[in-house]
Amino acid sequence: MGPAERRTAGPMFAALYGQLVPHTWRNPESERDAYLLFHQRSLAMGWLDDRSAGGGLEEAMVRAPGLWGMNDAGWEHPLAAPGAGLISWFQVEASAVADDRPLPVRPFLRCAEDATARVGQPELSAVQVLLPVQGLDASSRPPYAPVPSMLAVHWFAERDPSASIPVEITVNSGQDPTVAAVGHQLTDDLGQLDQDVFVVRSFAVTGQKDVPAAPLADAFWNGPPLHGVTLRGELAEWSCDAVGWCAEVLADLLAQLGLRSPLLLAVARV
Amino acid sequence: MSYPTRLARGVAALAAVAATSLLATALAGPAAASSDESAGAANSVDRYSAAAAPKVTVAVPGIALRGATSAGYKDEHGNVIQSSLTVVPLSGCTPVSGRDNPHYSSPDVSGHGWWDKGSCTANLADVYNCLYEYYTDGYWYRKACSPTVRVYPGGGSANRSTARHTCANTAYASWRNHVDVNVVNQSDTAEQPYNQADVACQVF
Repeated sequence: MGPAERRTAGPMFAALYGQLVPHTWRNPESERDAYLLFHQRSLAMGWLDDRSAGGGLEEAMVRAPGLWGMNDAGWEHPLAAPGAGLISWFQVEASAVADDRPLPVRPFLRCAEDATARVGQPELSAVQVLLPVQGLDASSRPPYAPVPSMLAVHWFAERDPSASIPVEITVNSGQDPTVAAVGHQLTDDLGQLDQDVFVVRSFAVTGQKDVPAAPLADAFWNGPPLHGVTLRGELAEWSCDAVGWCAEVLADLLAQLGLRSPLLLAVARV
Repeated sequence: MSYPTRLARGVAALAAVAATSLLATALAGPAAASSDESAGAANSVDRYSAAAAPKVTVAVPGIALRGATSAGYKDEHGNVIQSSLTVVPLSGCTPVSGRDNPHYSSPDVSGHGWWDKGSCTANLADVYNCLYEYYTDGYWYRKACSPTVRVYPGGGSANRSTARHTCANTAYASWRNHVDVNVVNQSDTAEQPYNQADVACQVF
């Protein structure tokens, strides 16, 4: 299936790492878990795509379009590396991406962070995202927005200039060698965008040993993480919003450079 | 391996399965294979040549094309299910039949079910969900059902049902996650709505 035939972009996954200080008022035995909270938040904010529903009363209903369909979520994951500091994880099916919109990583991470913050105060050290780049069609982007996330870059202009923080971004395409092959071009393209949300200082081609272990089965995303690059630089602020923006931009740039497979991206404070 | 390569390998795997019609018939149930004798009769040369054997069309897991009409549902044995999967209910209160998209959850295809009160007032319901895989004969084949759980509304961790089945490969097929909610001590409507998704998982 090519992007044009797909009803969705593909699975999107996020894992939040760091420390979570539970709210003192919350019953630790509460059954309102990451799954329920993420689903409820998605529904409330209009992000949940219900168009895949049918049957009975629901067969003929006009259903809400949205950014993703619910898959799964949790506080722990059986594939998480011991001691990695996983706080929460979320899996959705990203809806088909409009020509002038990015992959919805910013709202996805917003929803993930909101769900997590409902049970405690998160102090994030790293964010990992699986991006369905195979669902992007670079040729369909309008000429005024080849990287649609640039349409929303001015959001970050109104910020505390002292909030800038050094980060390391690992970008890995698994068994697909594309990312490592175009790493230099990627950093050039990123540098040519009129933005200072993420300023690249250096990059290096990296392999599996340099990639933080992800709670993902290889079959889920074309793993293991054999081919990638690590970008080091300054992020305008340490927030899921800024991380999500970077992820959206990198996904589009790599789609332009020919990537057609899922991309595993991790952003960590250094 | 690139995604297109993986998909191509999935197609090759399907072709291999299709070539082994006896195996596919046994796996997918008798109704998944049908002979097409009328097509053979229309060609008298073929009918009496060495290749005159009736063509056998073997149904295999596949993608339900947008707008395609469903032939219906079959159980694990290939029998057509006469049920209320998609009937329009006539009476009773209507609960919210909560479910998610069928999805890959290594190494399984998985789906959840839960309920909320909707127009019902009772506090407990029996909930289960089942996963159906689309085959190229147009039928949705039941591949897994959760146990029935008696749960409170809301869909929290202790109040969901889970159906899952181990994937045979990671080629794509269309799946439906149907959920059935039966409110305890209250008459409720009989629909079993679903969410549908294409998942990188085939089950034979």
